[in-house]
Amino acid sequence: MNPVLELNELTVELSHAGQIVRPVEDVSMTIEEGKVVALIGESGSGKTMTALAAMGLLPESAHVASGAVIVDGTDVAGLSNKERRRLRAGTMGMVFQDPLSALNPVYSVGWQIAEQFRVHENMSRSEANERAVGLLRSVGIPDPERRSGEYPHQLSGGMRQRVMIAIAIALHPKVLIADEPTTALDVTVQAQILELLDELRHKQGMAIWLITHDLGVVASLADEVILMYAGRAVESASADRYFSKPRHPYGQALRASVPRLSQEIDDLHPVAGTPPPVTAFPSGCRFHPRCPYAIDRCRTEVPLLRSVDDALVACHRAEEIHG
Amino acid sequence: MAEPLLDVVGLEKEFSARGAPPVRAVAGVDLSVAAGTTHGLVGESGCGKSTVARAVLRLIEPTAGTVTFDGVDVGDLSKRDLRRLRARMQIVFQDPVSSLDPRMTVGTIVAEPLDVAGTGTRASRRERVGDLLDRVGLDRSFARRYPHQFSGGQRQRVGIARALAPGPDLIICDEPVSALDVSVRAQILNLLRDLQEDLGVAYLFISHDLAVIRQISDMVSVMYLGRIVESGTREAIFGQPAHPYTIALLSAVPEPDPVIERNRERIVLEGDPPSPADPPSGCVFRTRCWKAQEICAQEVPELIDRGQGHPVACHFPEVVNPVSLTSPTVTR
Repeated sequence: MNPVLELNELTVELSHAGQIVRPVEDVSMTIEEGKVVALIGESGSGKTMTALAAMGLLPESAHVASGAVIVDGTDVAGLSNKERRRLRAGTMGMVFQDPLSALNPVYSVGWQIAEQFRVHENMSRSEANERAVGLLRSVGIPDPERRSGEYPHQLSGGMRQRVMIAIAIALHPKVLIADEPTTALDVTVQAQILELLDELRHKQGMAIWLITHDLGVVASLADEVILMYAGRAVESASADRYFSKPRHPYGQALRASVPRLSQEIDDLHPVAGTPPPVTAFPSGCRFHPRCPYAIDRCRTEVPLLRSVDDALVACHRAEEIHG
Repeated sequence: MAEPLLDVVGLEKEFSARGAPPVRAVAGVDLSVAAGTTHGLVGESGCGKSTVARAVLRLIEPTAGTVTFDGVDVGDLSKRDLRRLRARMQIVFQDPVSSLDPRMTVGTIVAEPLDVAGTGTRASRRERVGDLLDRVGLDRSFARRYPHQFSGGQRQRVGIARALAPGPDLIICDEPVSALDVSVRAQILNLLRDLQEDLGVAYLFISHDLAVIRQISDMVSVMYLGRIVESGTREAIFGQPAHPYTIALLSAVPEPDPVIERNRERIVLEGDPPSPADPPSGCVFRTRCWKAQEICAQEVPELIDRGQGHPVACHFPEVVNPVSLTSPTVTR
């Protein structure tokens, strides 16, 4: 299997109120052709910042401080913006949580899709428009000829997200980066979008990098799971492994916090406290102030990801606490 | 059965704007909440659930229907009596940022309902604020701080403390945990349940999240396009759902378990809910329903028990064992 996207010990720095902070530190991951990899974590865990760094879309105040982003075999760090844009066009597509703010309100949705064919494939206007209509049809938009002339505000949330996906996949990227693609949608519409993403993966062999806090969405799509906490990856495993037996205490705590639909749970057992802000990441293991298993070593020494059974776990006590 | 604490009958709310057809956000809703229990109202965005909450509190005037609280018709009350009654009926909102005044200290925010009601002396009110903060898991000293100094979960605790201040019998919780992270959400759900056990407060709990509704509710009503389509005990709704919409909702929620997810055939409803400004004739769900027949376009199905053991507003109700929703036996 060929990796389509690799992050190698990626660290992002950000200046925040005169202070240099690291919202992402030493994150490594590999996405292979046709695989769905989920990056999960609560707000402030650094998952979106990781994705923006991979796309080369970090805000002005942030930059990649160290590490590599390798897209389809090329390290993008050394590239100019123009070269990077060209590489990105054919390799990565991105879908955001809020399609209304990601779409341009003053152009029809058909125009916005066709734009890519005109710019990147030098197509004529009419040919590009035709392709746009075909693409709208393929993402399940009814009456695509009429819809392609409509503007984002005329579409429902679910349809807008389909348009976003159409734009993202227009140039057949190798990997689709989907940042909370269904979070703003109702559950019956979410089911439609999940089905569409699953189809893209199976029919077109597209790799998907899914970034979400919704564990149900992850379980329905992902092959692999990477759990982030306070800017660091703390567990990396196959989805089956992760959901049957999370090894990191934070992963275990998350699992005990989620109410289920399929079974009655008497008590939720959430971990106390809240995730730390980027300006106050704790020393040592960043989870130690909330961890029931923390020992002295956890306060001083950063645990690195290491192999425990079939998973990578960043916990000094991973062997003792799987119980 | 004892008289319910809150009894809503035939509630309707129409919004109208000049030049546009009226929007019937709530089209005849009946529900009741017994003292000390939780009634969960679940539905997708735009179904009218938050409008129900506001109409029950008379924050907006209902177009039709009655709301009876502890035997008193809320619609008949003078402004003054209504204010007094509101001490017993409080609300917690979804967004703890916009629902707390940024210029007020947390102590002032929590004390406000007490100050308005003129309860006790200033000193005793301050004492009570400390107790309330303590009760919702915040430090008493936080009374001097401002909302922006708190995390989302802490702000929601402040919102709950404010609602608890006048000693209500009922708190309407409008999506109180939807903006919160997973671990914080579980903390707030546990807090709400502890408060109910200790204080006997009842909740009308409004959410779009079925798993949250299952976790917290005794009774559950499912809303679609301004109407309740199915209503029953938690066990009935999650164990013997019979309305196609309830079944589709239960089937649509992905479970955090890849084995379940791999093996299930999801019922995927097509399209979006219709606009409440232009609802379908007859059954409002028929345009997305796989069982729809002619009668569904002609007659609004009443919310009655047709032998399912609980009321279902469907001409063709059929109890589905939800276990089958997680296995491939359900046909679309």
